[in-house]
Amino acid sequence: MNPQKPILVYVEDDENSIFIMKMVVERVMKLPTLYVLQSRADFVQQVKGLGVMPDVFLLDIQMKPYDGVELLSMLRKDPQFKCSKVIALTASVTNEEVSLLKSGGFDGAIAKPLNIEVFPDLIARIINGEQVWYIA
Amino acid sequence: MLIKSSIIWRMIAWFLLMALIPLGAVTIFVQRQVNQTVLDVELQAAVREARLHAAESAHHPDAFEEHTQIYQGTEEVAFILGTDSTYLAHTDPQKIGASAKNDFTPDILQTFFSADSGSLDNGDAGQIIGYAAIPGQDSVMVIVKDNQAIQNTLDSLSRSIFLQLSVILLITSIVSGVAILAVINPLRTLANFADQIGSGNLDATIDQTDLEGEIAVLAGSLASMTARLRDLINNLESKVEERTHDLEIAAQELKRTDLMKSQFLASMSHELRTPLNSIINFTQLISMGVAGPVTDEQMTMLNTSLGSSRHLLQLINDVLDISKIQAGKLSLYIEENVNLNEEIKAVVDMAEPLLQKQNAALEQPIRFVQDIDRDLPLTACDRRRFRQVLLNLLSNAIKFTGQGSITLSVKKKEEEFIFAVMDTGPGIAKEMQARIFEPFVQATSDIKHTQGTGLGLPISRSLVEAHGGELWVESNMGEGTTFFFTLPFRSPVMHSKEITQ
Repeated sequence: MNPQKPILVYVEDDENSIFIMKMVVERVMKLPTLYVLQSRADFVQQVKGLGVMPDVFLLDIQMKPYDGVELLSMLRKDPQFKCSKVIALTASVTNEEVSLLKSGGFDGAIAKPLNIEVFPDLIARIINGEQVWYIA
Repeated sequence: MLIKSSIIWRMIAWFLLMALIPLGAVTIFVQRQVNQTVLDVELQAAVREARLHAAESAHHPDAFEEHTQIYQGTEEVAFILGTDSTYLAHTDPQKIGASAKNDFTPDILQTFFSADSGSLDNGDAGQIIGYAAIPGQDSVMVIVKDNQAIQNTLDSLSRSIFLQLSVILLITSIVSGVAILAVINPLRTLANFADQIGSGNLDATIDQTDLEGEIAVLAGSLASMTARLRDLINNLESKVEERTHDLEIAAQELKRTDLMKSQFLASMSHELRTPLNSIINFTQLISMGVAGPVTDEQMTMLNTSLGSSRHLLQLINDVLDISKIQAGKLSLYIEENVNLNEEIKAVVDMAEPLLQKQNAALEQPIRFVQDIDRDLPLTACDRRRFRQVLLNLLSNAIKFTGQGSITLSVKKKEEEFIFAVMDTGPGIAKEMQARIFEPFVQATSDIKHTQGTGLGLPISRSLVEAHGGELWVESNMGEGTTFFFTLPFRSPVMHSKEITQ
């Protein structure tokens, strides 16, 4: 793992959000690429098909057919990704949802709309092993 | 039926018992009267007989024996007594010449010679004695009757009368009992029927074949009344069922509507936020120069766009909050060991850019004064909601204050924290002070100040109350406004105690 050039995987079904995240990662954070995967049953195969080991998974919560919580459990079932850092991206930060995400095994959550100014710092903190709940 | 009619027999038995007591008393009384009368008659008869025999004996002194002998074989005894108390003649010939002193007391013997004639009741020996002096001679004719035999006859007569009366009484009682039963049985049938109806068995029927006359009429009325009652109740039941069903449908409909409302709000929140989030993030990216250089004029417009978008997002969040509060679905996410000093600092950091922006347009900048107790103890609360309340009050104060100062004061007093946000703004009229806590009400219609949702204060008050605190305002027109709120201090120890309870 190269802490200077972390590998980020993003799962999202909204085209605009994907575009924004690409801009943030490639233009603002100046990383080589953002890996975008789709919410599908073969999610784990898609990850393995990347050929690289991701540093951070960014999962949207409100997605179809599989939401972020379901994708996380798919990922955690594979021993290879048992300790991967997985962050939830969510627009509706209700108290119930936060406690659900915490108990569901996420390493953190970041509220949407993204605060682009602090986002690179949040990713750095996550890679350093910190839990980040940037929701208020 | 048989068991129930036993009371009739018990009544008959009582009646008999009650009748037998006076009957016995009367019988005893009558028996005594009769005995006395018979005794009197017997005494007189004894005297008469004694006189008759005495008179006869006077004419035929040689026939003494005959007068005494005629009583042989009867229960009476006759004898003639000489002055020396020896028997001159006697029904029992062996007694002739013997002394009467062995048979009678001296008193009685003396009595025989004291008068011409008389009678006496020698009760001790059960004898009735009649005597008469034989004229012209010094001897007395005495007739002795056995009273005991007479008494025995009388007693048996009384007993037989008593027995016959008792039998008559018994027969009368039984006959009346049977007659009463004949009337009571149909009444009892009616009573049973009425009982069944009374206990709710409206399907009970009455067999009218054995009933006659008034009782049959009564039974008929009762049966038709029951039928009407049954119809009425069946009708009522079906009506109640119908209404209950209607209510159930309405309740289900209400539940469904409520669920739909919640789902609508949740999905609206997502559907509205997604494009809005894109707008905010794209605007941010452009203003950061990601898509190329931005002129100052463009930057101003982009910032305005960003501000409007964020305002819209706040509006959506507030509407969601107020709908949750009104639906009673607001829940807090309580965290232990919240450091209020840190939270207050974070809120102040968020509010300060607003103040700076406001001050940039003012000649005399507004002073921001902080009077906050250091080292506030850790407490349990919903951090995000606490920040929301404090930020709402601070941004309101900034928004409505054109000169002077804004003071944030935080004190711990006994078991609660007291927050005060004091400004030197225009103040809030008394009549508005209650209304500003109603949704969509704003204290001023000034366009400059209407950039809000009108939901901040009602939401803040609900959030504080959900924490067990209070939020209120104190203000005078022209003298500024102070918003206060309290937050109960919940120490970690106290809280764990609550949990164990």
